[in-house]
Amino acid sequence: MTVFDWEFAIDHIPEVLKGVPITLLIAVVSIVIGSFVGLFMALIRVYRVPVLNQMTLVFISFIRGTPLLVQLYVFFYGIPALVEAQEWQVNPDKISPLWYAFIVYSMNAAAYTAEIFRASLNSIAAGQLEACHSVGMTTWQGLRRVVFPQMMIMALPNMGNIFVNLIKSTSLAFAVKVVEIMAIAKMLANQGYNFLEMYLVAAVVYWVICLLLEVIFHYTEKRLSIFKRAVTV
Amino acid sequence: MGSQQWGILFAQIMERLPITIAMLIAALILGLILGTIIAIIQIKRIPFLHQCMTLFISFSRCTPLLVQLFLVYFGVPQLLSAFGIYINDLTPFIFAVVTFALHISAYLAEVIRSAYLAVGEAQLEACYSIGMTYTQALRRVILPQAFVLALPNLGNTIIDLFKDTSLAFTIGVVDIMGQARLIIGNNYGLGMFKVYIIISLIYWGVCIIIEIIIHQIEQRFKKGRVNVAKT
Amino acid sequence: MIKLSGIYKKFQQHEVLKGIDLEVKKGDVLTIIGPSGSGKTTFLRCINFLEKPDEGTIEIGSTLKVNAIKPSKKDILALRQKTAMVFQNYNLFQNKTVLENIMEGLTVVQKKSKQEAREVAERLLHKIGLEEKRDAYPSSLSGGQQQRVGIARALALNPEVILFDEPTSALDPEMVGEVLQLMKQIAAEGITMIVVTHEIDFAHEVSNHVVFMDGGHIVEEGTPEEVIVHPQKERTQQFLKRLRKNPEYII
Repeated sequence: MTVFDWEFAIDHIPEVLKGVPITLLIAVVSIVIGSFVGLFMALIRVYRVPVLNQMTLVFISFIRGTPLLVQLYVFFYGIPALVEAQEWQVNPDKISPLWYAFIVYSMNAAAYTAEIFRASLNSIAAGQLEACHSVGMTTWQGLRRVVFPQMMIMALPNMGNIFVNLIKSTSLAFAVKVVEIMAIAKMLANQGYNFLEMYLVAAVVYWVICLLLEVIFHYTEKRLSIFKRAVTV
Repeated sequence: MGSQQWGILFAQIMERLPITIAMLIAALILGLILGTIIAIIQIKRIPFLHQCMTLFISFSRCTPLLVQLFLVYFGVPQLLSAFGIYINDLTPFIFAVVTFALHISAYLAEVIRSAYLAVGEAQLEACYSIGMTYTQALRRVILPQAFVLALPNLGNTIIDLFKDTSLAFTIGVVDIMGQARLIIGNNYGLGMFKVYIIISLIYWGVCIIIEIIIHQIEQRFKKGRVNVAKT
Repeated sequence: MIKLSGIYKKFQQHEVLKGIDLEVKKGDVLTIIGPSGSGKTTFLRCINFLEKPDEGTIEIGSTLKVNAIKPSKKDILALRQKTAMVFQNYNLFQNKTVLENIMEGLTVVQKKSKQEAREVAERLLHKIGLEEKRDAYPSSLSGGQQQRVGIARALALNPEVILFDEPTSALDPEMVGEVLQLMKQIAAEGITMIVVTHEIDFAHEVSNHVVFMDGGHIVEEGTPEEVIVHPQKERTQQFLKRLRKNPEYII
């Protein structure tokens, strides 16, 4: 028996790649929704809105304190059970598992981005808002035109991290029946006991995606940070 | 009516908590040792090894832990069997610990390296100026400061590792997650919601406890000292 | 006695030190002045090998002679054990108290007992006037206080020479005085000092040997009278004229 079945591996690369769009879809949808919710939660935390602040704290603590896999199971198996128990009219089997994935991954993205935005807001807000007020802007104008842009740039490296982590964590979605990269790799591996080949292919696919993203984020950060370049005397 | 069930389920799952904790600690210790070695290689830029480690770190951080787990559990035995070495009988616990250790060693190497660099060259020069050797400087001045700087990141890595142990059941380890899946399997899927609620509470609770412990350690070591060396 | 011969150093293509010869007798207070980029700090750091010269020899006392081209680890260590440095940014050990900072060299390097080390350290603390701060950490001290501790740390080692790398440049003006005062005091006690500084008045009052460096060379050397009051070379004159001009505007 050969050490590594190159033919098998290379032949099945296209099949594994079919999982990439779903992977990217989940990650992109989650980061977009998650960022909006995260920003909202960050503002709640920074301005200490009563009641909502505590709720947000508990939510973030839960998301960060439990494994993603458990969260997926809670939703995937929990919601139908809840629906049955309460005898609602919705048929949970008709809902594509993708929706569960979107919800859970977005919640994760929201919790992590909330912390990033909160840190950025805290370090930028005070002085910059004072300056905005002093030229006559309202708080909202100041936030929108001055604070948020700076905050986005400051948060960018961390956002890049969160996005890459999201991509990696989509590998768990197969546990709730979503057909992404890992699901395909597993299926192919089990067909002929080609575990090493298929999982290596999957690993390389993730690796390449990750490296590409790193390059893109690095480049974007450089372009957007123009205003930060110190003038050398 | 349900509360007795909750109690029984809770006890059944908690029974397996020692296995989870054992995985955590074993992987942590192994990972720290490996991570320190890698950090030294990176700091000193030892030729050839340095490039290898950079590759290893990139791979560990860019591929999902699940893939790494499957590669080690399914792939490595396949690889070794071609050379006549059969390790298929090893308990999955060992595969899990090894994978987790390798995984976090990459992250820990970065944590250790950046903490070391953050202490700053100036402190090292001060040690040299009074005639210390490099080893003396490390032991008495650099490492104590690096440790304090690394604590927050170290804490986060430990918590992430703890959550990551939830994947071990996929290769057959019966820790709290594995137990939960067993219970569900044995009950034809009844009571799934209860089980998952319980297990999420257990993970949440332990995470909070770990956070408190790390926080206490940070407080003890931070008495009166500055966080980052002033330039 | 400290003797440096033919110290040469190049950073990539740029020649920073172009062959420096210098002799310092016991008890001398040597001040090195010069514009930024003249190489004076690099030269000072070559003496205790924090910078590695490309060529030259360093002699300390009659027993130690180190060749810069192939120095053994033992030689470098010996060099550093006979010298002590006071840094521009103080560089106190952040994780140790004031007292521990002063004691560190005595216990770890000179292998003295903790008891002995504490006695020496207490005496020096008294000398610098910071006894109440013995258990404080550097982060809670002002710049001037930290620098005085830095000087005490150097004094504790009883070295052949103390090297001062622009000791007051990072200090707020009101603290410069207390540090210079301390330096004046230890100079009067006969400690051999090599000081790189911009404080020309200090050079004039306290030192007995002045060197003006520019572009990697020693341009002029002599007593303070000779170099500062009656400079011979044009470059020295220009440099001093520029420095003297500044005090006209005091806000």
